[in-house]
Amino acid sequence: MMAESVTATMTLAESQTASKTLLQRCIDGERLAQKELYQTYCNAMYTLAFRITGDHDQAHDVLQDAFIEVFRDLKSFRAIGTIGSWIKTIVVRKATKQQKFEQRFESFEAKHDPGIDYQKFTSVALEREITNLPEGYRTVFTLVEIEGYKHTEIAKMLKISESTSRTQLYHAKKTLQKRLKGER
Amino acid sequence: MNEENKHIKRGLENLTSYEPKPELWEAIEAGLEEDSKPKIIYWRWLTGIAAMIAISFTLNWFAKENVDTPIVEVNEPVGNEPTQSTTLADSQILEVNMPVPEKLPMIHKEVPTTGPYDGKAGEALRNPSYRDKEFIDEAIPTVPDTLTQGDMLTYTITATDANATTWNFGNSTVQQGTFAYSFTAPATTNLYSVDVKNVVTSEDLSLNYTIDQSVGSDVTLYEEADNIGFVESDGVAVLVEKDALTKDATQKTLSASDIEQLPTRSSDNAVVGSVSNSGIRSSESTVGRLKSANVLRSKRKFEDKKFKAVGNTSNIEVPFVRVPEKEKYQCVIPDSISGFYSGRNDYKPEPINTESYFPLIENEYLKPTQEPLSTFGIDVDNASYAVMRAKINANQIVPKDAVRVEEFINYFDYNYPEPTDDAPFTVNIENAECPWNTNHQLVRIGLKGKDINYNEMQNSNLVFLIDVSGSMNSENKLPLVKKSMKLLVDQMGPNDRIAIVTYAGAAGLALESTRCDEKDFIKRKIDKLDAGGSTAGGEGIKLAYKIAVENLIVNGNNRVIMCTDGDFNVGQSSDTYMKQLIINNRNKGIFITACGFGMGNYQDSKMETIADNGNGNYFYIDTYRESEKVFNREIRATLFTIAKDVKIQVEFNPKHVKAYRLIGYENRKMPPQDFNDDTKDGGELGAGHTATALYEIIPTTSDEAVPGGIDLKYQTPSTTTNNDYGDELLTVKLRYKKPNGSTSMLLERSLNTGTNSFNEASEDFQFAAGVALYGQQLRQSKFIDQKDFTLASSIIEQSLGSDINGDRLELLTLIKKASKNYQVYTKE
Repeated sequence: MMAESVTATMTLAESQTASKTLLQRCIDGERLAQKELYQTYCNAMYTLAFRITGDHDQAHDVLQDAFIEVFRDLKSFRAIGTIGSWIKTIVVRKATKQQKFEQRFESFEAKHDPGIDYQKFTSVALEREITNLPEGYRTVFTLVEIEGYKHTEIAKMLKISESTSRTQLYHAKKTLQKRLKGER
Repeated sequence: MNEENKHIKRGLENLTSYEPKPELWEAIEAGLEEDSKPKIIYWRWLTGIAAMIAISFTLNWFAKENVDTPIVEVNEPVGNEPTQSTTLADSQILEVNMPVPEKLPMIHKEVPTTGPYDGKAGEALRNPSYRDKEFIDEAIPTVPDTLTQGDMLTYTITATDANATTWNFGNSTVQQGTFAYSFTAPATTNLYSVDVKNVVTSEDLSLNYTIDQSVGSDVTLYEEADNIGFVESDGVAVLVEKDALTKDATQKTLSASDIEQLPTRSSDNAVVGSVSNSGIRSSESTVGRLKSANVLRSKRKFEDKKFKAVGNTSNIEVPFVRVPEKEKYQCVIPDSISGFYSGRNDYKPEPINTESYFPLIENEYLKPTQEPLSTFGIDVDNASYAVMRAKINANQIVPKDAVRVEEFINYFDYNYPEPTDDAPFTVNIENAECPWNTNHQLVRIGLKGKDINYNEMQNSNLVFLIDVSGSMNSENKLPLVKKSMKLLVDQMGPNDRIAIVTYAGAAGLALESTRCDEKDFIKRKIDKLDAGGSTAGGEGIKLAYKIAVENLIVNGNNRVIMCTDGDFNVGQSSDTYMKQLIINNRNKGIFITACGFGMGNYQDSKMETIADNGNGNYFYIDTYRESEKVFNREIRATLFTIAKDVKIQVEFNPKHVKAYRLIGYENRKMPPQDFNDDTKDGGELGAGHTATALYEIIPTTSDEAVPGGIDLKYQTPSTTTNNDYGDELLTVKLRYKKPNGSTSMLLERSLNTGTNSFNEASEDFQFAAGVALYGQQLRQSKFIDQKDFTLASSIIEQSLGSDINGDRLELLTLIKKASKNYQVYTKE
């Protein structure tokens, strides 16, 4: 049913891209733009979701919920920080919703940083042991060591205290250290 | 906690990267579908964007069926709907007319975080500058504000049929003002909708289409419509409704009586259209107000009906003008209210009819025997001068009521002597012959405020209140605000504090009160301000004051600096509330300064009210240079008040003064008893600032009758004056309060008579007189009898002085420019 009289060379999508920012187009509900935004971030976000939840199915759910919320709330994105970091915050929140974090009052010990030299281990080994960490430890470890958040930020995102966050990290590292020892 | 500083962990870079299943996007899409409303393409009313549109199409009537003329309604976008649609018949030819496009936005491309590990999430969250690194701005080549012959613009036209199949059509060269593009609709099916979009700006367009007569079939069916467009009737657009035309099913044209019987409609939207029927009237466009009683929203109509083209019989043209809304541009109207608008300008002409200025009634001559006291509060706002400059630079007429002569005079620095004693200012009075009427005298009263030592400057607690509504988007608004703010930040010291409150729809705290030892951080926050949304000023002001109170510095400089294009809604009921809020906070020691940016919908009166009640000043920032003056050069005057509630009362000696006229200060005048009343507000004098007032005086030695003078029946002019002060011409009394004081102090100075010729007067005196002359001419003062600006120019030229900052020279340039645009000025 395509007419012979089509003469244009530029598609609507291309034309629109040139005119508005991607974000604005997403806010307007343009599927192509939203898909583009999704595709830009989905791998990084999925990986993060998987690390936190430890399960691929759960990670898919998290990602789906997160992006739906992203597109719903894009209007109110206040441009404090990057869009990527904002999306990440949402992903983290969704991924950790079900998780519980132990509150242990070993703050003195927790201040002592068990430093791990990751370079000594193969990435395969690291991957395996990180994935095998208990949930809470793994989450905080991922957020601090891999994603680079500070404990104050983690405390806000996960709604735990800063000392709990530090404690979890401390234990995460200690566990990791122990398990990796055999892997040199 | 050293690990908190190192977010890059060596050895963790090569962890696995995972990918979600491809089906996940579809699941997300499904989730979003439930949220979004189905797209309906329907006809909507115009609500006002400027453009010249001509729509013409050929109507063909089908004799056997009940025919309605088609809707020729152009969809005006409200909010984010740029699409225009119409239904076309098979093989219909569509021509498109384009309005002048606006400037193009920049594209932001974000380089995203990818991979499993980058350690950037946290940094991105806590490091505000991170956003800058991730965005790549690609400027699209800007389109000039107006097009000239041969300018190239690209548009795409997309058509959709009822089965949602889409065709894309091509692009074309644009000529100034209009652009026509013809394409043939796909032959085999009926088109459902046609969207026309400017590729670069997403401008929506009006449609001008004709039905191809040569299609061959002999029937045209048209959709039922609630309305079909407008008819011009006495300059008012009148809705043509279907009933008018279907009275006679065989009717092919609108007869004159049809048009007369059309129902009128009115709305508050300034939308105008006119329908003309060739043979009855030719199409004309007018700017006016649309009147209608019941605006009917068009319904979705075109589902099942078909259009087919028929032979050409009648022709209805529906040209109309979209009257601009807010800061949108106005179309080219020669000799209209916008004055001398020429095709190519650096500025967009803005609709004057939505700006608001207090109507000013010029001061009359008064006789000292009847009104010996002249009382007023000082005014050192710059807004009127800056508005004038912006208008003159845009080759426009300055609205009479926008001219406050005292603000023109006070825009400039004068070399009055600095105060040496306790009083915060010196009072300098001078008189000489009046240059525009040599039988008269001019008296100039000048105050010079004490400047502040850097060591003495109190600490500042500043809250910027920034309007970030959509209307602030243009180049001379939010971007200029940001530059101005950064200038000010640079002037601050480590013990000063700055907060930023934004308002648009809702009020938000963009920056908590932050000490100015973190200037870079503050500047980055400023950079991030973005425009979008509609304005709710009341919420913003409340929040700004709240922050100011929370960070109040006792005996410090606490100030809210409001930056807006004046287009803010505070709501009728909260106007009083807002005023009270401002007054209450003023009494707590928090002042408010109003800064206006950009043009159009310019609520000059509102801004002045805010500043007046808030013990602050009102600046209009039209250029970067002006913001440098306000926020850099004269920052201490802008921020630090050295005397508030400054009032002047002049008593004239009837022995020497037959009549006097205060030049300017019309909305600062007050009754004599208010001078001693400390509860009555006066003006504020900033550190180092000067304030000047001029009187024109008819001396008793003149035979001239006082213009507008009143002759009393029961009294004759008294001749009993107190001869102890025989040589005095006048006495000036001044009341002022210290910035944090509540009781006023009094100063008094007198001036003896003198007979200086104008050229013997000081340079500053001459310059002030020249400025006053120019200002009064712009105001079309009935007391000035000059044909053009020659005298004003020559006075200013001879009194430029050292003019370190070039402000005086700028005025001279402006006057020369104004001379070209103003018609030969003749006294009414």
